[in-house]
Amino acid sequence: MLKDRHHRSAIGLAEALQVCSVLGVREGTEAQWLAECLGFLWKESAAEQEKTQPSISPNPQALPETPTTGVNPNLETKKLKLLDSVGQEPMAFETVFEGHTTKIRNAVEIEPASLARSEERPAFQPLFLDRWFQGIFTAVLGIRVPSQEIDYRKLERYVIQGEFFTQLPLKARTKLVKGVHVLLDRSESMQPFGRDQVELLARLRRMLGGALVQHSWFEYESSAARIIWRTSRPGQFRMETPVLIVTDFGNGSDPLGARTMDWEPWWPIFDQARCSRSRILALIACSPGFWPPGINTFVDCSLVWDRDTSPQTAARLCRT
Amino acid sequence: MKTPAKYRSFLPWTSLSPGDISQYRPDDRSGALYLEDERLRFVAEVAIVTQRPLLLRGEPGCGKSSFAPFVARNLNWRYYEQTVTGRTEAKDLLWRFDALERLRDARRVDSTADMSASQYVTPGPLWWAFNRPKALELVSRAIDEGQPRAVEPFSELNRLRDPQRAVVLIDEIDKADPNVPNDLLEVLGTNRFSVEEADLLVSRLVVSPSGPKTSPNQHGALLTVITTNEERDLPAAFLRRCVVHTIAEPDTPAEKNARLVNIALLHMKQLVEARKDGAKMVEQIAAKCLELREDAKRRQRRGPSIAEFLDAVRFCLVRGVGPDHDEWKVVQQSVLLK
Repeated sequence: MLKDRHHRSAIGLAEALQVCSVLGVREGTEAQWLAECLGFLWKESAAEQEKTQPSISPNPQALPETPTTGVNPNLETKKLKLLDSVGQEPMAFETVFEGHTTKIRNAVEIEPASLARSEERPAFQPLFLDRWFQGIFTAVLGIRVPSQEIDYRKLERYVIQGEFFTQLPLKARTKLVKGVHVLLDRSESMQPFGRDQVELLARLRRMLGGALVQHSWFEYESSAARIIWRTSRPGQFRMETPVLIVTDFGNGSDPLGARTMDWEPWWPIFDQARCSRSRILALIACSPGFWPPGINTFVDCSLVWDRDTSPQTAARLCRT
Repeated sequence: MKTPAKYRSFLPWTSLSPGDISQYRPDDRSGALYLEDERLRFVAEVAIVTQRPLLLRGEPGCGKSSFAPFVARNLNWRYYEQTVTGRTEAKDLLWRFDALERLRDARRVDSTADMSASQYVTPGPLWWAFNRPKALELVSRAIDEGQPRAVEPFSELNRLRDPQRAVVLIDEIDKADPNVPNDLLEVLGTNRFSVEEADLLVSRLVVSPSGPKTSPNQHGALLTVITTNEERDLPAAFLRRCVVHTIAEPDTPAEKNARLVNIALLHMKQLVEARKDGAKMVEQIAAKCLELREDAKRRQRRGPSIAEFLDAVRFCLVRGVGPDHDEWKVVQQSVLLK
């Protein structure tokens, strides 16, 4: 029996059936290998599990009966009292549930959820939707570089207009060749996003390759209007490498305060980015209404860091 | 349909004897040797039967790239390869168009040569694998000053091999821009592509099964092996179209040691037998290598790979340097730990 693992695909299932029929794979090690290489989990069916497991002894020791629910007996009595009027009218029950009464009476009792289950921590969910992550960052971090395709329209224009050209005009294509330099804010207001920042960094490394992702940590004290570097202060940014600032620009430290912003502590970063012709991008974990004034003057492209940001939104906002 | 009672492998797996192997070259693509791996063999058969690319994952130097030429030699299928770089585009695996050459020829005053676009198209490895006759026809027509502009790659290696069946290696696809695997989806799925410049449609040849029932030629005609060092994630849509296998290390230290020793003995049997303490030296170096790997793992660094281990063994066997020698430290620093 094949159980889906990491990608739902009818294509994978078709391949599995093909191999089973052509090569005669039915069970055992080969079946498990087949399932894993096509992205499934192999699980033995109940009948096969019974064959492999030792048989149960014919007279098992009876287990002491334990109550299936932990419900307070007083509450139970109260409930029964409420239901008394119904309980005394079996005919009504038969009439209302005509045709289904046996099924209802024989229905398997659903076990109530346990406290332990409700105390389980929910699975981590990144701020950007998984399926949109690559699309968003391709739009945000992509750099237009010449491809190997000739831009015939441009060439035609040169020839028609008699323009002199020293090299063939090549079509530009968006590529992620420059990587990214990520500046991560770990000030107090960004503490709730600590794990998200780490996950973001790991995800970017998996997408672009470790060599293309540089990062630095800092703390922005909006009250003192200063930036303190917690890792070594970034040296010169690589030429044309986008700089991605993950911060709230101090919004979280004083959410009810006046919407003013002193950009002075940020000027060295912006200057450095301009010198290396790097685009400045910002990921901000709050809605645009709370963004600092003047942000569009200094930052080329700002995105809301949440699950509603789609690749289309990113492409529209970050169009170069 | 009558189904076979029990699974039986159809992929031959024979390594050449040392006497049959020509002069040693590092990262050799002759496909002479490969340590027996049942699971890898099975997964390759799945890829051949299902006609899906085989995506091999694993650390650098674990033998991903060596597998394709080995399978090609055992199947007697033609072999082509392309190593992907950061500048590679999907189109490069299919064809290349030399626009600059065409422009240069157009400017020659005395040129009477055929200037059609097809003259300047060079088939890529996937084209050669898909449809060799069409590729041959193209290169035979593309002549410049009496010489062909392009020749079939690995023609000497493929001279005596099945002209209709091929193994293609696309090496290190994770180095390419993330667009490249996406651009290959349609080609790998439909087995055809269109050459825009020459207005040509290239489709994969339909090859009839041939040979006895147990022959691999009954099951397929093309195996595309794609390797990745997992430096980057590959798109889910691409993974879905591949048969995926990870060449992983064994679990227990004893198995890891045995594997390294077996690989060394397979590759360097003559060198090992030439020394009295050859086998013992190999075991010592294998143990040392595993120690270095564990240490590197703890420090979150890259440990020595199988390829580096083989380099170290080769040097030590030739020069008689063992882990107990002073020179071992130099071998360790320059060959194993980088």
